Amino acid sequence: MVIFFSLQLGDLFSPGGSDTGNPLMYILWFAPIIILMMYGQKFQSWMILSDVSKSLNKLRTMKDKARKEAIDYIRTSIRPSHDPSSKIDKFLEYFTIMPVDLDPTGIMNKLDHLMRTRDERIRTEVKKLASIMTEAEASRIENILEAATALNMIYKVVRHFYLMGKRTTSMFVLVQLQMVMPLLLQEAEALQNAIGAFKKGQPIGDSIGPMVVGKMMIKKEKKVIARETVYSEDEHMSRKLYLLKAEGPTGTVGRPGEAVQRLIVELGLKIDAIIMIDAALKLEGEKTGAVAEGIGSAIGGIGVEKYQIEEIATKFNIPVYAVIVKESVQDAITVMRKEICDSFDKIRDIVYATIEEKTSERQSVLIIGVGNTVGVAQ
Amino acid sequence: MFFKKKKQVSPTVYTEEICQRCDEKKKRKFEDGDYIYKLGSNCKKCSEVTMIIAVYGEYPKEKQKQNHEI
Repeated sequence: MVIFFSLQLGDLFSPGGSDTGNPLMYILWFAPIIILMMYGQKFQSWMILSDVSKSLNKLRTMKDKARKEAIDYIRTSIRPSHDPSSKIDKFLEYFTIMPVDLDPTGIMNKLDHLMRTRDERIRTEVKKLASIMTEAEASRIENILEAATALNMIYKVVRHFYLMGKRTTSMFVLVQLQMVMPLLLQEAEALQNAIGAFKKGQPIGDSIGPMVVGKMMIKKEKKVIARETVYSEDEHMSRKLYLLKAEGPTGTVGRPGEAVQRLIVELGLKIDAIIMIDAALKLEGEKTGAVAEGIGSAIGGIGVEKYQIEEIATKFNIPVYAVIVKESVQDAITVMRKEICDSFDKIRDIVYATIEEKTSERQSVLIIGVGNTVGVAQ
Repeated sequence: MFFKKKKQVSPTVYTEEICQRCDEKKKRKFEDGDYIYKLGSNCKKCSEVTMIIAVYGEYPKEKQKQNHEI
């Protein structure tokens, strides 16, 4: 039965079948091959365009939802006298022009200045939304707007390449866009979830560094050393500890670079070691919440804070030790996962072991909890 | 038809409190206004004020498996 059936099929579809002399069969057999050779790329382009178009629609929905959530949050939390929609739309289109890097000398100072101006401007604009607003509310709104702006930017860039690919029917543009689309969608989903965490003031994966240092600062006097950045003093095994983190539980990363400069240069503290605790990106296959030790300045961002800490450490010959908690980009900006939270004890043990191994009695150690301190006090 | 659409799973957020005297731990669902190292409610055992020591999200088992290493 099977043999009979396959023979029948062979006769139907093979030019070498029973109708070998029929030219129509040859045409029917080769026509699709020729059509695919000529128009195959077009078909592929259409398929990619339809695929990208679906993803673009998803991005648009996310972007619109983020905008709506930001507006609704502002309306309900601070109750502005005017409709905030137009101001929010202005925020979403807000841009920063990076300084010229043809001559890189002094670019860090330029970047620092630029970022401060940007932060100041955003903070001032946010505070203009309502006459009475707490610092906590202002920082929440700032964080929500940042996530919404990032989503808006992703959507606009994807739309740009989609329309360009559509206009030029360029396979290369479309294929590249299709390849990065899953990653972009993942990032967009994470940003959307981040808005929820910021609205409720929940700690995110990036808050693990401030969480460890915050625990060490409980019941100690907190002094402001830089904007939204506090430090405390403590002792451990006859070593002096200086604990530094952004001031929580508002959603801020503080200014650890400036704080380190002030502590060491302006206050003249003699620091023998710096320990930095931060969340770091894991590679695929690595476990979320895994803790690793290393050397160097563990801090992300645009690079200004890192530069400032490295400069001071090099100038005063201070070794910098890093303790990192591995997590994905999605984990870093969404509500803290249990696996990350569970790494708390391990980090604390490593920090104390490093203090005991790398310094001797009567020496001083600066411990910095790096990251956004949303939902983490001290 | 052949490929199941992946559902986006949201985590359930919990708050963990610890009594500052008897170390009694309590896990409950996150409430608005909770933050880590905030003084919480009174301990059921000794009436001492508790402190929030953790706020975290727990995903359903499938999602945990999906996100984890090989």
